[in-house]
Amino acid sequence: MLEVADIVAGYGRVLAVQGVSLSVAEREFVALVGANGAGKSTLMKVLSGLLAPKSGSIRLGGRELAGSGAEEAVAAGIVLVPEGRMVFPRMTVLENLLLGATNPRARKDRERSLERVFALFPRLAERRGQLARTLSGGEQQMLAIGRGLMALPRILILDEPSLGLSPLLVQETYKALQRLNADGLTILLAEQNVRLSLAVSTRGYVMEHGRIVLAGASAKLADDPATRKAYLGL
Amino acid sequence: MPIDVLLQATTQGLLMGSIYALVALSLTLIFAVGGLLNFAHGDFMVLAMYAAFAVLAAVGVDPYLLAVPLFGLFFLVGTGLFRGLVRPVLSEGLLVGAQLTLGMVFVLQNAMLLIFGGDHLSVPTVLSNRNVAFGTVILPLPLLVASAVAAILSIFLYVLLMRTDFGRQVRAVTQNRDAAALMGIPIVRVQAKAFGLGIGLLGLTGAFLVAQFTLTPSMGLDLTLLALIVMVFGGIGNFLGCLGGGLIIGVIEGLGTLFFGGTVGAMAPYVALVLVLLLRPHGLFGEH
Amino acid sequence: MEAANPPARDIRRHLPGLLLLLAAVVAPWFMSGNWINILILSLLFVFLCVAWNIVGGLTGEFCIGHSLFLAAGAYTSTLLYIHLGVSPWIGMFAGGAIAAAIGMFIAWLSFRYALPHLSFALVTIALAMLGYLAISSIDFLGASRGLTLPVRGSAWYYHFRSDLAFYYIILAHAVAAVLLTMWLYRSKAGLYFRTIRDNERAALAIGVPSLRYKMLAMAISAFMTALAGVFYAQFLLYVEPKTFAGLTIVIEIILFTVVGGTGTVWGPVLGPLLLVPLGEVLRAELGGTAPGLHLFVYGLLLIAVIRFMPGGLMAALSKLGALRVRPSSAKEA
Repeated sequence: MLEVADIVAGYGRVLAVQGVSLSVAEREFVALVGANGAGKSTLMKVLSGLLAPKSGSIRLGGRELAGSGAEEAVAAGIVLVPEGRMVFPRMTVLENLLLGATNPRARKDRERSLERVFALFPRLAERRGQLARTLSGGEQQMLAIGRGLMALPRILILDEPSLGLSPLLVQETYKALQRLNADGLTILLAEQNVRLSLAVSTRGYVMEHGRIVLAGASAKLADDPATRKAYLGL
Repeated sequence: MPIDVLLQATTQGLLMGSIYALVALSLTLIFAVGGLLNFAHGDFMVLAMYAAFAVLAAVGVDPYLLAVPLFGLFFLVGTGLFRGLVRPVLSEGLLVGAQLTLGMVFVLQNAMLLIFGGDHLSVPTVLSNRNVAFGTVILPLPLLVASAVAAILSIFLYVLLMRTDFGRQVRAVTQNRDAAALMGIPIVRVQAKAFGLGIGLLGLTGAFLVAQFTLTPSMGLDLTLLALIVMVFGGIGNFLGCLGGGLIIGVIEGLGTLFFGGTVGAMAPYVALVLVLLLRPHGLFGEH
Repeated sequence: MEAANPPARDIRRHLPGLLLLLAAVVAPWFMSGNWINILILSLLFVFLCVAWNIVGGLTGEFCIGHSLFLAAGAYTSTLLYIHLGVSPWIGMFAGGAIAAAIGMFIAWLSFRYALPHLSFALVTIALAMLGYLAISSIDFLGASRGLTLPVRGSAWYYHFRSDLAFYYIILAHAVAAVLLTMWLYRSKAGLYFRTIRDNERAALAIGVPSLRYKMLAMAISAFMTALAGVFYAQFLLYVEPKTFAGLTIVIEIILFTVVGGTGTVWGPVLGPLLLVPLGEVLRAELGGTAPGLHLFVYGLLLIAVIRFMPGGLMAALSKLGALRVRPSSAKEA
């Protein structure tokens, strides 16, 4: 469904992404792992339309999206839950969620989406009137994911959702993602936490210095001596 | 000091304050959505007043009837300015934007001077020279109408910002532009509309205020500074704060003039501005 | 670091400046009195813009309060002259000292309360307004009518029969100011100024005494602006709040500097040298029928430069390669 080919991108003369190709099929749960600074976040920004790539193509269901901006990407169904969550701090939980459904396709189903998100994260329903900045880190992560779901994504991309969360909350977040995937949501997950992300995903890519260096089934990657040595410290 | 004089000054200050609040609200809207500090803000309002005067002189239409057309016209001017001039330089930073609007100050003030001359003008409307008495407090009807309209518009703007999709999008752009883009919000369109709305409100307010002021082409900067003071008082970017800040400044000015005469009355808001900037940088109502 | 250059290259690098200076020295011999007046005004603004640029360009603080310093110079020297008979040549140091003290106080305030750029601009504009309102209402200062300077008619009292003398005095001011900024750019102080501008927190972290250097920049800039005020008062033979303490002149200073190129050595020279004569010609030709036209044109030019020529004339020139400009690292903030 998502076909990414030969993306080159970066800020100024520094090319953080140097020719990355990857694909995600319908209903798949794919992990993109790599150390801090491998270029994952830059790639996520390119996929979400925040950053125009220097070259390369991004196709979703056959439609070319590279360089056409975030509004187009969201309208087409690529939705990013960004690193650091980026909830709107001085708005309520409810307002944050409503903003998620800005694109015209999602706007029509806003009320139904809201019910679904509240069912998935009952905590958000309890805190709907509270300002987002008063939420705990875990709750903010739920809000960021819920806000992403409000956009009715065809593929949900998450950038480091485990960052700054306690192990327990990370477990909880990942369980929610697995449930969403089981219900039919396509997910691309960028993570430093290699062990966990390979445990929940079906397929994985390993990124290093701006390139994909390994790819394969997650279970295989987790067993691969090279990955184990480089990333799991085993 | 007799109590009714005090009451008179306070009431008049509150009425002026609601007008300041509206001007500050539109200044805040423009600042919040694009990071542009618009030093030409007051000049746009003065331009609206002169436009109302010109139409009155040419075809005899009362300024009050021009409020809505002026709103539309200034809305278009605002969106056009944003797309053509402001947006291309926004990435250069706050100070370059401020310098751009200083250029607009010179352009607008002197264009008006060229067209209308430097003489003081008062513009008659259907309500001129009528007063309304509330007990011992006597209020000029034009001021009463202008501040009532300003109060209504302020509330309208506040509701628009807090309760509608457009308002949420404006606030999202204000709070985190990248995150707003990730929501699929059309950033530039929202900014242009907010900018147009801010300038448009000045057109509308100008039509209602024209009876209240004696016009000179150079009066805009003073209005801008007052609005800036209100904005800082309310906490920069805080819409609700603007409403409170406007009323406070109106009363400070009214009572300052009453107790200390014109000069000290005029100085009081600036002293207050410096103190607030130094001691309460997030405004009187903001938390640290 | 530049001292190692061979002298030939040094001369070539300074050639445009030297030619400009030579032209300035001989110019009045070929000009009518009216044009000399225009040049005096242009050089006054060169001096003012170079002074403002030390704060607005070098340390990157957007100060809108320079009218305070101009007024401090003009009013101090004028009052000393009128009431105590002190020569403005002496009074100008008193005015400069008062201006420098005000400037250092503002810099201290800004540092003590960690004012962001925007708040700094607002504080200075508020102080400028307060100064204007105060001067306009204090009778001792002539209130809004202003003060007229008695004519004593001798060079000791900063008075000259010929405008030529005024011309060379303000030329000397301007040349000294340019030399000072050139030196500042190479000196440790200049390096610190730019470090503070580009990243104050980092500057503090690497041990740049930020407060001291901010105060120094403000003091130099304010002192120079006060000298300009003294000169202007002596040249016009009167002081009044609109001209000396109003916001218009500050906006003009900022405008000329931005058009020329903020943060460069030659930008604040080029801007007023081009714009002031343009404005004065417009004013002379059309001032009677079209008052304010020159300010209108200034405004349009400023908007056009910001929109289409970011960095001002100097940036455009260095892009053209017409002049070898030292990289000023101006646009990194």
